[in-house]
Amino acid sequence: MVELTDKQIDFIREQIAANGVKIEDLQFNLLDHICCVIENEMSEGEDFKLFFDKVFPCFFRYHLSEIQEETELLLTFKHFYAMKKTVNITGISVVLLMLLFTILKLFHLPGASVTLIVEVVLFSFLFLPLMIVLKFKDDGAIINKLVLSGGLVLGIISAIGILAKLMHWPFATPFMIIGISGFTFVYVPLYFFTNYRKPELKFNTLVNSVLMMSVGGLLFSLFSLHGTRLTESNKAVYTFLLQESIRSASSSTNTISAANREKARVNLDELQTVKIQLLASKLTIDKTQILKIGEANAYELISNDALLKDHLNSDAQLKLNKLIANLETELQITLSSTAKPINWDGYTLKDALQQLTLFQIRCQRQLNDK
Amino acid sequence: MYICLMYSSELLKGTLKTIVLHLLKDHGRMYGYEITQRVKELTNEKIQITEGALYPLLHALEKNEEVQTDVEFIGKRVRKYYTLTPKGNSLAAQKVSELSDFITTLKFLLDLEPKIANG
Repeated sequence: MVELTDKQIDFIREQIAANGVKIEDLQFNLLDHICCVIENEMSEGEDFKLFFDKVFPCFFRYHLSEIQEETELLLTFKHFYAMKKTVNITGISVVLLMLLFTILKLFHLPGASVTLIVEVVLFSFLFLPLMIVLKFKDDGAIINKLVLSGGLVLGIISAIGILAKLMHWPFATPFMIIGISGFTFVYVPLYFFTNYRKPELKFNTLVNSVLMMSVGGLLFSLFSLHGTRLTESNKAVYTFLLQESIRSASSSTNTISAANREKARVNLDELQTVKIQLLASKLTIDKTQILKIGEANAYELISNDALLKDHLNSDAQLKLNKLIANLETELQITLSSTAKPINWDGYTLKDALQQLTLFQIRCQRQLNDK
Repeated sequence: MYICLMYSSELLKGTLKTIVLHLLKDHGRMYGYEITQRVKELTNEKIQITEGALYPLLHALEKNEEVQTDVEFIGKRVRKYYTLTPKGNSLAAQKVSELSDFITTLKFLLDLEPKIANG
């Protein structure tokens, strides 16, 4: 039996590390094993280096690092199995919660919001991230794994954005736009071009791409990109403010009687009630919920093209005009540039609310002036 | 996984754990090279366990607390000896019994040995 020198042992250790085995325990195992093989099988006088080169390839099939890979796989196998199980359970839970949410929402039963939040949280923070991890453990080209993982990340962002939108949380729109646009216009093309080349996947890739692009495109089309309308609305507000500031500078300084002041206060409260009713009517929620989320937030939720006349019938319009006329008389100011009652037919809901709010401010200022 | 050489790896896959556990149960404290040599001897070189199969398994058994290790310094190198824990002991018995039953069933199924039907 040959005895190896320290130098030869160091050489073997270096070879083990250089061939991709990094786990220290495994290095010790292999070092001892290889030394035992050499000590027992090498003849006295035989060249160590030549014998090592002959024997070393017998320890692996393609590369020594496959021993480390196999070790890591077996060590994480339990976790892998647990992850797969978690994905299955989470997936089923998400589907069941979605069904429950649909039923609760349809029948206006309590608990819909909580169900929705739990469902989206499970989907975005457990199911999809685990899918990404498991995908990376699969065999296959790294590019496919990266593309799919990117798609899943965009899915997470979209889901969070949609939840935020439904729950009136901040940053909903940016999340939704980034998630859905990224998915439709970045992920789907990447998916198509990475998979279409494989003949066995050609048909499925085409069908999946068409489906994903269609769904993503439809969701994207729901976005309100009313930048120009917003600009028009802002311009209308600014023009109105300019006109009012000119009118204020030239207005008379008539005094307002106490009786008129009192009536004006009541009418202003009535005007505020009308505004809240309009918001509640458009958002199909009750007035207490408007007060809960805040008037400004409720205003922000209204689409730019919602029309006032859809929420204010002709009787209600007459009543509103009478209310405004009374305030104008009591406080000696005017809402519009003419003395005639406003025809609200062409107004969007947002424009009307802005006008009424500005009128409220002017009325309040008149009331507060001594 | 590559246990070789006389039997196909498909046949031997899944039995390596049972082989190693049983060997450690019978022989107590062993190190890696010793395990491979013992199996080779006992099977007349029909089963030769490769390092790529053995050491990942030993690491997994250690992680599951089915074997415990102690270390000895042989000159400049470190030798790890493996011994079964109580958990490993009962697992060894269970795995051997399971495999034995499986072999009996296979023998009957493949008409290798007549089986008396269970009453």
